[in-house]
Amino acid sequence: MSPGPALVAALLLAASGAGAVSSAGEQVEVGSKALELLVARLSERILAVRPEGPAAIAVQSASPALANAAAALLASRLSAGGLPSFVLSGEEEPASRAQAQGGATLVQVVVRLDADLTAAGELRTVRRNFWAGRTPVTDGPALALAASVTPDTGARVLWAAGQGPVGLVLHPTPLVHFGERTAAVAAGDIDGDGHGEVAVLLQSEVQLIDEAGRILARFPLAGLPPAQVPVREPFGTICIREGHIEVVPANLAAGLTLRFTGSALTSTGVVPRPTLGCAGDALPARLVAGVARLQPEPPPANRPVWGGDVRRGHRALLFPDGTATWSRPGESEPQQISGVGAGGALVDWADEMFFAASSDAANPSEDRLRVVGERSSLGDLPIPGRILQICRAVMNGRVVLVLGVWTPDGGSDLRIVWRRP
Amino acid sequence: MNTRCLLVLLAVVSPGAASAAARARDGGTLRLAVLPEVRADRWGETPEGAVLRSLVASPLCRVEPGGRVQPVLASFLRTAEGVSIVPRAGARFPSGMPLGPAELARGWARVLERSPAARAVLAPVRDVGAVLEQASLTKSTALLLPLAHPWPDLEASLCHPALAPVWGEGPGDGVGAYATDGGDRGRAVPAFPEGRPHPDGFVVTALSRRAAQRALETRGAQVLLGDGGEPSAPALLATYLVSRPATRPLVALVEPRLDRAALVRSFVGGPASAMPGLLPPALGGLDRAAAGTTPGRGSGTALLLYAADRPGQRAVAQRLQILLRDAGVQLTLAARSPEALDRDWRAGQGDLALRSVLLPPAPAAALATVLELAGDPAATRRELSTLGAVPDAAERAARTRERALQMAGTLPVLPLYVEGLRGRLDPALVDVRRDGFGLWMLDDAWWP
Repeated sequence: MSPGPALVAALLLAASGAGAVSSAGEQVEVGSKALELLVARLSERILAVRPEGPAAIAVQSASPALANAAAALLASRLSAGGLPSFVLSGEEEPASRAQAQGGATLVQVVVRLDADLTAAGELRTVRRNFWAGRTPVTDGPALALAASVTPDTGARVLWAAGQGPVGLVLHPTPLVHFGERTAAVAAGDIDGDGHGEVAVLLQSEVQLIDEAGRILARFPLAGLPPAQVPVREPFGTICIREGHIEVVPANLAAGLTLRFTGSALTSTGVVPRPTLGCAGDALPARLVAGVARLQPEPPPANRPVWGGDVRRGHRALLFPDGTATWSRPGESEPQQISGVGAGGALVDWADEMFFAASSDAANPSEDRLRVVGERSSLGDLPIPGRILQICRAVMNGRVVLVLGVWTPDGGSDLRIVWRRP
Repeated sequence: MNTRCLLVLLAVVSPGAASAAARARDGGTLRLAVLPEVRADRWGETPEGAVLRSLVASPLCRVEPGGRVQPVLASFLRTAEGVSIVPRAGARFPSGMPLGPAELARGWARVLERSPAARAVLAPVRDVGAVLEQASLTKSTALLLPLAHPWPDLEASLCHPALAPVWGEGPGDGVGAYATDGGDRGRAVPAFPEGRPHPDGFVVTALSRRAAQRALETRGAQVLLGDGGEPSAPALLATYLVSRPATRPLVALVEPRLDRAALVRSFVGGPASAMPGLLPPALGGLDRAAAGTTPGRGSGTALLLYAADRPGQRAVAQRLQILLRDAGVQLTLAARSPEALDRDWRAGQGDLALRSVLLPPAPAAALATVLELAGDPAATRRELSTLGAVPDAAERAARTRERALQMAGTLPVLPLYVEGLRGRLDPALVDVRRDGFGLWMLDDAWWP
């Protein structure tokens, strides 16, 4: 899947001339100096050996947007340098296609971004020596190409644009890594400062985390009276409500209401009830003894759930058989969704309600976040690890999803996913 | 229009959908195939035996690969005097009797008679015998272990499987996620402090190597103990040749003739590696022996004790016999059960003995075990009090490695080799991780 042509065009425009002017006459801020520099280095090297024109350019990358931008830039640079060039269409057998499209030289590079933005490949002729007979002997100059530059934001955006389906973007690094498993995750603005916070129930403590992943406060759970029948899986509910954290760990006899003093979490002594969802119309529930399940009360269906969410009249429930129901306001029959895992949340993006859910795979090394909307689908986004919790959050003014992801080392990550506008 | 179709497609619920597996599924029977030598290791002194035994006799705590201590049956509290052990609510023996400090103390008093690993863990406790005797008679909520000197690694070493609380005389009379149900079976304990295990029970079958491998391949078994293993996992079952002061010259004859790597390759089998230093490579010990001296010659006879139920030990004992014969010494081999080996060696039988112990995953605590095998309590206390006085864990580990190098030639303990957990898992098993000892934590296992 590649990004829309309009997006690529905009990126190309921005990339080919820094500070290009859009049709509305405003300065366009995006661009990638790093990509330009990388292409400039490649073209210098290519032009230095004076290859025969025209040159066919084939660029491969995990991100189609980055490949397209690099190919277009390289073709225009080489043409400007006196070597007529064109971007090769299609992907298989570049040498024969270059020849079929009238090329004399093939420039083939792979562009990738990790710590550096790198391009590596080769230049070779595609002319066959006619006198060689059946053996396809080629002659003419050949050149190894390799260049590396420090990436900039533009390059990262181009790289990210090709990762996953259109619309969903995973932040490349976890917001925070924990040495133990997450049991529940909630988001909200606990101190009313306009910045979102994330409250996390872990196996041994509750942590409050800010938008940058810094720990604001923690509350240890060791020594509190245990539940009559303990649960092996880390499980419970957590909400940020009216300046408090309401947490109900499945392994404790009772839940806790925690007040954030600005630097610490203190228990108010009020015992909260578990709920499905944290909004005003959240669904009351109770923990099922000994297993990681909640029983909604009053039961809409008389069976326990893994979890659920409620937002603006929408209600989603996740059942242990891998199905979910999504009830919408004004619709009598809920939508049935299958193949759903333990994590699910409702999220409002641009006036449309979406349901985000993990997959029902048993122990994936790479889980899939699936997001379906009322009118459209945002597809699947691969997430390294195993998604157990999903919650909607507002961070840095943007509506995002916070994922609680279990990692193979026995710990867990918080990961952020947003929707590209 | 297209997206509408897509939505409809996504929304189709297959009517016969099996239960999803994103969370653990409860039920079923965990099937284990074990080799005869694993079954014979009743007290769980080898990694394989310890994994099997932990199903019905859980250790007090779990030490994670990073060193963090996770309470299972008890939590620990540092006091001015030492460490206070508080059993968790819900930790009950299968008879229904709660695990109290008295039961814990009685069990430990017995295990000290039998296990060098347990003696080493409790070595920093002041008057451990008196403390345990006192605690076994009184009714209190916590067992206080007063320390003779600072010992920051006590909590991590208390997770050693040798210190798993037991009620009766049998190795399976512990507090586990499963309760024994006849000789080969266990059933899930719903009130276990960490929560019930996901399967309803387990069944163990002792099989030959071939039959066990086949059982795993045909999915007749989900866990195989005694064969296979991962070379990258920590290997902490260390085997030493210990000697009496009078037979030290014999060890000097053995050492130059010893090719530890060949010994491991030919007689021990993987996952195992040569251990030239007192500490295993997994704890930062030497991984290469110093250049050897020219082998000398001797004469006379000597008696070597070894554990009969460990196939590796018998082969190594026979190899040592040949090495010493080349040096002119006639070595007689005497097989003992593991319990009898410890008892007889401490009673003064034998000139040499092969001792295998599972070392704690902290270098200082591991060195304490080596010193326990050396058998000089005064020297042990002197050494441990200096190491325990270093509060920073990394610094303490570095100091311990340094001391291990310095002491290598002076202790009556010759390091030979170190082994890791031998076992294979059905790839469908989920959530089986290793603890700091390199042992599988099978309590969490489930399958879709």
